Amino acid sequence: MEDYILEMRNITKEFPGVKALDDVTFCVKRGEIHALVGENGAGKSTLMKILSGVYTTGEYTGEMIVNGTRQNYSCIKDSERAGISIIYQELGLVSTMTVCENIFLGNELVSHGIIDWDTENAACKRLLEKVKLKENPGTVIETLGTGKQQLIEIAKALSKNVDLLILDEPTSSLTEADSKNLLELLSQLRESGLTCIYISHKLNEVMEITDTVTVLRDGKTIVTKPTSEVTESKLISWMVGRDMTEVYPITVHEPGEIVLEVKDWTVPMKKEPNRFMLDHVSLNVRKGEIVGIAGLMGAGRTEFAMSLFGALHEKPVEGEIYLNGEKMERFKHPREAIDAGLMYLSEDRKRYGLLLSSDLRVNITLSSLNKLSRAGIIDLDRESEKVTKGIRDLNVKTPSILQLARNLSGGNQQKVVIVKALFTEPGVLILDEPTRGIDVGSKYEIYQLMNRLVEQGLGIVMISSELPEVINMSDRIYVMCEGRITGEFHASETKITQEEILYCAAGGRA
Amino acid sequence: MKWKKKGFELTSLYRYSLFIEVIIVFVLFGILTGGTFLTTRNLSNLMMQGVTCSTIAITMTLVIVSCNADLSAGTALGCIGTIAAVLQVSKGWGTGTSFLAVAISSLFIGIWHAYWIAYKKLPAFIVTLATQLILKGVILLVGNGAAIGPVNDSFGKFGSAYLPDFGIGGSIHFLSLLITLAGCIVYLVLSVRGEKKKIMNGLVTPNWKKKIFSMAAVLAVTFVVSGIFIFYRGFPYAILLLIFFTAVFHFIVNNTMFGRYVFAIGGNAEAAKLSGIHTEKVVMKIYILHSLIVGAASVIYLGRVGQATATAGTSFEFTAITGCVVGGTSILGGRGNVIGAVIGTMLMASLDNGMSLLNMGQSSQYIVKGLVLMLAIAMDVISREKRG
Repeated sequence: MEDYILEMRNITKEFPGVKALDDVTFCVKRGEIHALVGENGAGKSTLMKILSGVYTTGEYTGEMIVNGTRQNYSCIKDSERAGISIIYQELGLVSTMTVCENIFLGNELVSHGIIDWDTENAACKRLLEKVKLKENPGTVIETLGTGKQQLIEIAKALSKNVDLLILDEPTSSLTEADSKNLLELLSQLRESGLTCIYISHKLNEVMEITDTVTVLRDGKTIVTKPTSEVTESKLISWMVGRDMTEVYPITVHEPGEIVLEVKDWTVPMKKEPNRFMLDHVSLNVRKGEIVGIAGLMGAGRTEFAMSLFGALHEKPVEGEIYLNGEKMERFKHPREAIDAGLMYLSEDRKRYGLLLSSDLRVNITLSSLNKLSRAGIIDLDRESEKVTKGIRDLNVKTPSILQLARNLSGGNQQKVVIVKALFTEPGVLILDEPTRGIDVGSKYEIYQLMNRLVEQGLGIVMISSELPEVINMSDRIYVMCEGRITGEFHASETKITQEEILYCAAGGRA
Repeated sequence: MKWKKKGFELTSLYRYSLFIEVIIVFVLFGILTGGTFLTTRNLSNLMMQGVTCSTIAITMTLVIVSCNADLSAGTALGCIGTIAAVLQVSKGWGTGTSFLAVAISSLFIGIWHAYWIAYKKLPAFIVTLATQLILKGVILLVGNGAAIGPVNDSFGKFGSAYLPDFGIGGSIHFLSLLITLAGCIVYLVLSVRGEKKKIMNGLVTPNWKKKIFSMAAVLAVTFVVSGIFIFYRGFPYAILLLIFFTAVFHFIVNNTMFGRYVFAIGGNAEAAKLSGIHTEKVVMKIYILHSLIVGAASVIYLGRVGQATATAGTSFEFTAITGCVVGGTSILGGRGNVIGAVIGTMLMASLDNGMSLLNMGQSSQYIVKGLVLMLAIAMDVISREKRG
């Protein structure tokens, strides 16, 4: 009988319309580092949210046993009491507070309701020693680099007498040296009896540090094996081996002249001018061509598109942009990009695309009102007429153009933002995750629409995390990893495989 | 299900709340004052009392819709008024040059706000609170804390004078009647034409019965309100100015790019920026327009009162903000309308007037007004939450 610290059995979690987890079983032995790998959307985050109490008992089916006791969480605190602590990809520290304040935030050491600073500072020092960090407890977090902040997160978890520590992509924003440091620390903590769940896209790290690995795919457990018995390529094939259930309208495109060319686009990271969010990214797009950009979450794809579009807060320090062969000034505001014929549609429709409380008419013409107005006064008749035609062309299902955007389904909302983009008469359209969160029928319609648009001479850049979509829809694919282009594939040459792309996306060069 | 139903009722209640509130206030005060409240003389005075804040409310709507705030409007009004009064009384400036001074000082306040709020991205709430203090200081500096007046007749006309009467028609004011009729005809033509266009563009399903009913209701309200003036001294210039500004800004909100952008910024500032809107420029324009309207309101106020005092305009911004919210402008931004804001602010003036007629003390008046603001905002936020 194995000594399991955690047993999650037959876990099923459904969201409206999708089964995020389907009968998943996931067991972790005491004292091991257990890797959890899988593509974007495989169900890793959902599983961890159940484990950490974000989804409470009753919101899913199946049983969870921690340290031999069955757990019924009613809030996140319950998971902490069970000895579980999770460190998210986005650091959860309050940047304006000190190291010590952060470590004990919510669990302050008090006597009679008053914080006992001496005890806290002493305890803080001991914890910092444990994570091998030579910092003063009074240092303010924002003066520290991300590597040190990550260590403080771990110290914070240790302060809660954690038995099982979950790390979600801990090295995704760390430098190589910091990553190495972190991995070493984890091995040492394992010696002292801590159990870890290690979620990562970086398979080399998984191979290096973990004892056991579990692969999730499409909400199902594919395999759990000792890491020593698997290879990187084996893992990749388990991760991607999904059935091609979706249908793609395949048409042959005839790419023409280059419409968009970007050379050496380089953007430094916020507050860290020596590290790059985007590092010498170069690519080109032809007329009548769909160019896919693949990559894992955090690879810098959205940042790249936003930066080209003039909407990213961090400004490029290097890089040239050519539209139709003509060198452009780097756009400082989306208006300049739109006027020059470059349009970008955000991956987050609701947050960055739509005015949810406004009607479709207002939404659709927002970017192109200058074409419908004279002296600032909108020609409302012409506007209604154009909008009515636009939504009919794209088959947006709505009772009226005065319907509020919030009342439409995801697929129809996506069509609305596409109509909006087309009204600006772009030469190049960047679609960021154009089919995220929409139903299969609408997906197909959007693919058809993309094909129709490139036939009309538009150049389309499609950023997508769904590999089958990228492979089947694109004429050419760029793969990005950590702000760099790590691979380029032509659809016409040979059939591109998901494995090849994932290899580049995980940092290997094509 | 139960919750959903409750939410629905609350929302529809909210939609007609302005109408219901007007009825309640008028019936209540009508009864409590034994009819004094409802005399044409009192109602005409009431609207003259409310005209300053209502004018401010016109552009306060734009400020709130764009998710900003202005807590300095009342003090700004007092400050601009003091400057104009000092220039006229102590320096002997003429009416034309005084107007110019009003325009320049309000422009200055507008640019000041635009710089800090639109371009430096400081929170509007604090910036305008700071301005309020600064302008209070300027009032004392310029006016030495004394009442300054009287202002020139030609300057004061906009706040105090009534349309001339040609003596025809006896107890009714003939010119005002003519203006009312002309206004009604313009309204009828515009709204029938607008409805036809809407039907033509497929925006609404034809329902002329409903449209005729709503037009009749608007005409009835217009006649009742105009009747107050027609039977008591005629239209004051101040009210005509208010109607003019309301119409202009109603048009700006509904028919111009600028108006759209104001709502887009309030609805989703990030999406607005990604749609190619220069949000800074739009917010700058809002504050400059708002400031100019506050300047106009200060001319009206100065004319009506005749002199500038150190406390003139105090807490007018709260009346205007309450009026906006009561009139359907969401304090969370993105939603609102100018006409509702003006009616809402007039309702606040009615509350003031009615409570004064009932000889209620200043203390209870403050408490009532505070509670009304609280209630209006609570209804706004709750109704929005319910709709998700």
